[in-house]
Amino acid sequence: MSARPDAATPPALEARVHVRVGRGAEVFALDAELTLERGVLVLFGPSGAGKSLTLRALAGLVRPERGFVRVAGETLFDAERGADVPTHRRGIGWVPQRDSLFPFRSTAENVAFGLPRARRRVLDAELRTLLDELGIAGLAEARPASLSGGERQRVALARALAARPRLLLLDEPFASIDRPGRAELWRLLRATLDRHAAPAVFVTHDADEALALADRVVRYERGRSGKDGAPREILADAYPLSLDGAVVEAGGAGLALRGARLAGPAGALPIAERGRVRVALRTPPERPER
Amino acid sequence: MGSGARGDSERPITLAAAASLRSALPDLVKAFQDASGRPSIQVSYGASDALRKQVEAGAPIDAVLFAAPDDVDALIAEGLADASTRRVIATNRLVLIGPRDGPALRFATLGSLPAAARVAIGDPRSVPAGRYAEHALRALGSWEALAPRFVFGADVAGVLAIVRRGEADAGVVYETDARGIPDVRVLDRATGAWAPHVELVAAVIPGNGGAEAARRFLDFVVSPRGRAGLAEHGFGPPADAAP
Amino acid sequence: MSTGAGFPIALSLRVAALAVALIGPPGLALAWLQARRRYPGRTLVDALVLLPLVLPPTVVGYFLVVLFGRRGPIGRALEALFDARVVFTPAAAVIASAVVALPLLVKTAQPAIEAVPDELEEVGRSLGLGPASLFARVTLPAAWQGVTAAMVLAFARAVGEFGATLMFAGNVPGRTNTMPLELYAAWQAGDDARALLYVGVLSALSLAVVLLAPRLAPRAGAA
Repeated sequence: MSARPDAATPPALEARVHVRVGRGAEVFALDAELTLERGVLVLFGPSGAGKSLTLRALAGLVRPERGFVRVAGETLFDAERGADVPTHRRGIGWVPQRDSLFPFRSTAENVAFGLPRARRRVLDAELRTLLDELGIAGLAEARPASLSGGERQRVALARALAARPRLLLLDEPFASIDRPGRAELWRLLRATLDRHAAPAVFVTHDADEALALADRVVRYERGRSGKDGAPREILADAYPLSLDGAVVEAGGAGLALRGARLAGPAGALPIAERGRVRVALRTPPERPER
Repeated sequence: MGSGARGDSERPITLAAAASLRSALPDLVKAFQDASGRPSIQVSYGASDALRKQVEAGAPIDAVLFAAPDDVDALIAEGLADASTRRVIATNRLVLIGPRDGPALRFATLGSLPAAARVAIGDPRSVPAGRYAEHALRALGSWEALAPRFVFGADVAGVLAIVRRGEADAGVVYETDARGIPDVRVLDRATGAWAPHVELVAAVIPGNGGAEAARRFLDFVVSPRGRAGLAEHGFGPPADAAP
Repeated sequence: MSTGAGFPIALSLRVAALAVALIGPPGLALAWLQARRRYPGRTLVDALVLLPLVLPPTVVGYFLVVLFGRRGPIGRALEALFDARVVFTPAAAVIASAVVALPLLVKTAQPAIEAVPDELEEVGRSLGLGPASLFARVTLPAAWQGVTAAMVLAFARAVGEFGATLMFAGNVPGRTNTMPLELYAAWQAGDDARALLYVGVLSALSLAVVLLAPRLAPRAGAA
């Protein structure tokens, strides 16, 4: 999925940062290096590895000790040159995990919050389209307290996008949404980001989520970011088996694939290179707790 | 005066006196005790109103010495004070005082002060010195004109404090109060037809056990020795009072 | 001379309103600073803010007179530059009320501002709001209940101020005779009817505040 970098357009994000937080015995040090040409970069790893901290450094909510941050070619932070653009001038969208809607404002007012006053007064066509895209047009007058978790995060997303950010940062935004709702949100997010051509950095510890959303994945471990790569590569160990093939038919009973290959730790097994194989997917029932 | 009956010599008597007598009264009390061997005399100083209220509330006071007739006469009308013992014990004068480094003014020229200036007087509603000041200024015809400039002190000491700090350009107090205060100077004395007659009036409050001894003390106060003691502190003799 | 019975009521309300208007913006900004930032000297500032609440009002009055009086540093400067005096003027009544009401304002608003989730302010910043807009459009509205309670309590304290006002603003009929001062003067003069009038008004005001403020106590977290 990594296309050749276009020499005329600078990458959406280039960053290398060294961040220290905490004091005395509780110091946490992070070293991260990220590049994103375009699309969605997922930061994947266990909790506490430094993914969120990286995001905060990109947003300017935390000041790195060393390094630089460049978004769309513009330097937002450079320790050596003493450059540090404050958050409110970085043109960066921020979607945290929860509690981020302004409780004293309706959905429409939340979405328009970052816009100039003239556009805040009346919802123009552009904003209405955005609300439609995210399926929240009917909730325009509602207050955050009356919205479900999924609805709230959709509003948060609309709000960040309405301000036309150069880079969108999402910190585990769907972590508190239950699984059935999440798949729909992944689909919605990808479609929206693609339509707006908005580059994004997405933090998660859920491999399925990473796979569903990422163009590139960077793996985090204990305060360091690893190299970035295609999702399948980086997440391979999360999925011991993979089945690849061209989907020629999809239905209630499963998929029909041509040129299918089954790959796993032991190697790859070609199945139905010329013909078709029908694959039925069944998830085992939940084992009851004892 | 010789030594009186020893019957009530053990019982201390309590006097309620206006604040303006605070410097003069201790000397008189001491002289009286030396001459007659009387037991301790306790004096409670305060604003005449407050003291009157205490008497009305039944406080064990044997005699009152107030800065104006009003409160004494009120007590007599209420039957609390003995009318036959009522007497003027001294007279006083109003003076205009000002801060040491302030402008030279007279009662008649107070109207020349700028609007932002302040003149401190006792609150006429509760301080006799304030009532006398109002009387004087009304007689001079300048009360209404001066109205925006007044600051009310809760008592004469309050007025003195205000003027000493220089927060007011002038104040009205008793002549006896202005004596010996380093930061103020006396600018003018209230003499003339418009000047009020300040009378200090006293009376015995019977029924608290010290009436006899209190009467004897008041006799002493108006005696020549008593009057001399008061004069030393700037009070005028009772004879100067209006008929 | 005495002013009409209604004048001290109107004056008290005016003085208190002006006092709260005076300390409102800086007080709320200070509450935000103490809630959100750690800086050297923070505890000292905390103590100084709390001081007028704990000091006897007469001590506060004394300090004000010493500073703003004609012989004091600020008073002398004001008189030299603007030919203005402060002591025994309505301005003094406003200042005295403002000084004693400030701690109440800051200390009540501070926890309300602390309770505003960081996420709200972070999102606000990402949406392009600079510090002043952030404070006005995000922090204050999010903390509105606590902030309103703070203003109400400050107003009540300002209306009830007596000791410092008596020393600093004095009893200037028609200018500085606020309700508490007039109440004291009426009581001294034995004018019970008037005294009772102000007792009634002040008690009603205090009761209203005491009933209202707890309902506005800051609730932790957003909806």
